[in-house]
Amino acid sequence: MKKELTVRQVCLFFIAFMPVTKLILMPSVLSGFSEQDLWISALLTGLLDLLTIFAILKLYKKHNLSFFDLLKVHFGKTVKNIVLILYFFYFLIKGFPLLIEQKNYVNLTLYETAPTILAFLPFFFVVLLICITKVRTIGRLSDLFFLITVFSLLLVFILSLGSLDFGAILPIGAFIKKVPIASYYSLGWFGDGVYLLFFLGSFELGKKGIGKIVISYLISLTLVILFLIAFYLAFDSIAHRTLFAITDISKYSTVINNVGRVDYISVFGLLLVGTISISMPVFFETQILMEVFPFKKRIYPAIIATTLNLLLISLLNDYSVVLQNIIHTYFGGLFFMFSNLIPILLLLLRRKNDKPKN
Amino acid sequence: MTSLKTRIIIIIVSFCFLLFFSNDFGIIDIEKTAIITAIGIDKKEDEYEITAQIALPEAKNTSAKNEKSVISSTGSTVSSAITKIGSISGWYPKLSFCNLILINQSFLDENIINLVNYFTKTLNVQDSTLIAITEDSAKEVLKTESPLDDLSSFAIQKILLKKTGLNNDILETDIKTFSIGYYGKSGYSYLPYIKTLPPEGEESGNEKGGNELSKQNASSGSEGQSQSGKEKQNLFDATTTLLFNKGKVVEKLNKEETFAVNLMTTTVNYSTLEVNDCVYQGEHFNVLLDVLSVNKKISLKFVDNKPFVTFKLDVFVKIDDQNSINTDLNGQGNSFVPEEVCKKAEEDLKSNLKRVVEKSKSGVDVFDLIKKLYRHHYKYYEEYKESILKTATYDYQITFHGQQKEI
Repeated sequence: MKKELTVRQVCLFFIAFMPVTKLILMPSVLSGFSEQDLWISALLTGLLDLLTIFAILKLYKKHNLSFFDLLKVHFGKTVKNIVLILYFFYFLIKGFPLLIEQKNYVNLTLYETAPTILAFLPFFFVVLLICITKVRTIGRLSDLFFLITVFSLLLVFILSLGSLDFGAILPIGAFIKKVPIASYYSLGWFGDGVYLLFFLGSFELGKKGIGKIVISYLISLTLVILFLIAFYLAFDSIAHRTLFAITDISKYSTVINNVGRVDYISVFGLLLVGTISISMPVFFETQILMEVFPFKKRIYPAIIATTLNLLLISLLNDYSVVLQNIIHTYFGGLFFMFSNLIPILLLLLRRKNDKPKN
Repeated sequence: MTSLKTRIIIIIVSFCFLLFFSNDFGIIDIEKTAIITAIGIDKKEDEYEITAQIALPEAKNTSAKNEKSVISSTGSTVSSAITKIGSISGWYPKLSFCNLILINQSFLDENIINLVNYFTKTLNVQDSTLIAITEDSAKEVLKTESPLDDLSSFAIQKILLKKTGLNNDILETDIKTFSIGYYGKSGYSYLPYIKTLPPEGEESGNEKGGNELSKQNASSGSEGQSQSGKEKQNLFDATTTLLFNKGKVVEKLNKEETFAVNLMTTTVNYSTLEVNDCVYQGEHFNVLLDVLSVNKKISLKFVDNKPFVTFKLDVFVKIDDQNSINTDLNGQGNSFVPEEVCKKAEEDLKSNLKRVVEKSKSGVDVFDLIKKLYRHHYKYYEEYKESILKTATYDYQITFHGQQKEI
């Protein structure tokens, strides 16, 4: 039976959708802790994700089962459902700050005169549509959107070149003691390996699959690290005060003085990709509801997951900044456990136990 | 049926994307919007007086000039005063096109970052907006008529943002640059100081004592004014630079010192330099040099654990004009630059640089020495971060050269 995704699409998924969520607020937050060493903090967290992805791929090669089947086979249906419900809430928490971030960015930078929640609500129609679709659609979107991500980031890099102070990144390691703290705070933005866990069973790994996926994640991580470095080179000592990095980093180009805000091409491109990217937690919430509850059509869990996120954003809108801070400050351990620790620990499962339980 | 369903979904999704990205919710009614081109900040008793220069776009067939309006309001904070402008005018104060912030010198006795911070935090103002200190009240400056443009703020921008080929005698700053300096390791930042030059026929105390070439240039500018038929129109001078340490003004640079700093720290090509009282073959005369290219480097080294700063400057010039009667110099086609002129230019520039270095010892890191210390000599940073400006040994390697006389 043909799988829903190809290895190529999994690779492009990481390049297309993983960098964009890390470009809005994360650079500013990280530079607030580790200043010019912000990229080292991100690199550490990224390498943790790389290790997780490698572990998940090894797990897949060992068992050749989807995450759902793996849980069912080794722990039984009840435990599987409990774990999946926990992951459902985890995705709710993981997705909330990303949604808030995108909402604030869109409202505050694009809607100067009427920054209301209403302006952001149409986004949930798009989320609903993505949740209704199957994994195959995510693969096709990856095929298309990776071009937008790469093109937009290249344009940002090129436009920002003229205004970069290349010495600003020095001395490397001056804030090394604060690097682990910044890495901890970045866990909420990273933890991308968990998506791969839920893709298990949807693609055939093949001979060189592990290498290809690991390399694609490294490319994605490299794009993020380059962006963080460019961000600090552009803003130096005020990096931690510069909230929305992607709008600001490239606007000082002389090209912009002459022909206008061409950098908005990349801003809109990254926002477009970001729309899909921050829909991912909601997409996997839908996957979990489909697996745990006996829904016949995918549209019902999709509506439940989307509505739940919509309600969270709408009702907690006034407290969004505080909640965002709380999540990044106190939930690092949770992010680490669900995105990294559990997937890595699954490697301990023995292959000989791959027999159905109840 | 499936096809119809797909089409409906595509239309709905396209519509959602359109709403999401097109900014239709944020659409601005131009009739209710004040497009603020510049903001002036003055002190009025204990409050901030904000003056907004507003461009009034009107749909006309014949638009010969920029219509403008100047509205003032006071508030206990910068933001509240700006909000009041919206309240009293009924216009939404749109700051996206604000390219200039003028701050009256009455704020110089306090930390200037208190004013600048609002503009760094708000997303409504571009952080590439220029900032300057004004000698007269910012409100008066914004109301001033100028022959350069109908909007005085545009006139000031023309002076601050000089194009290649004009004199590099101004150190302009924007919100971003000022803030990076303030929050940087040295806390050094600078702002140009804008003086309103009097209209033609009125003597300015500040301009007394200027050299001959300056007077010639000034008089030619005045001629332009009278020809335009406008009366009581002012020009602006921004060649004085104020130096700040941690937001407090510490020193002031004059035109020559500002030019010297520009030569050492920014990209200068095709500027001009006045060299007065040159002596060649016994004759005293003045020269205007064209600066064709500049190679510069400020290096910080540690010799025996002591900081050692070298200013290396190599300037290639040609004579643009002189008032010599020597045919070697003023003959048709003669383009060589006498060694004596180069030596005099070197001496002048060296003395200007030395004066700037002396001023920098009061705590303003004009040449980014503290930044260099932090970035490239981190092991000495803690030891020298407070004292390097005073304790460093300075060496000046300045050379001017031009085309040699044919033998």
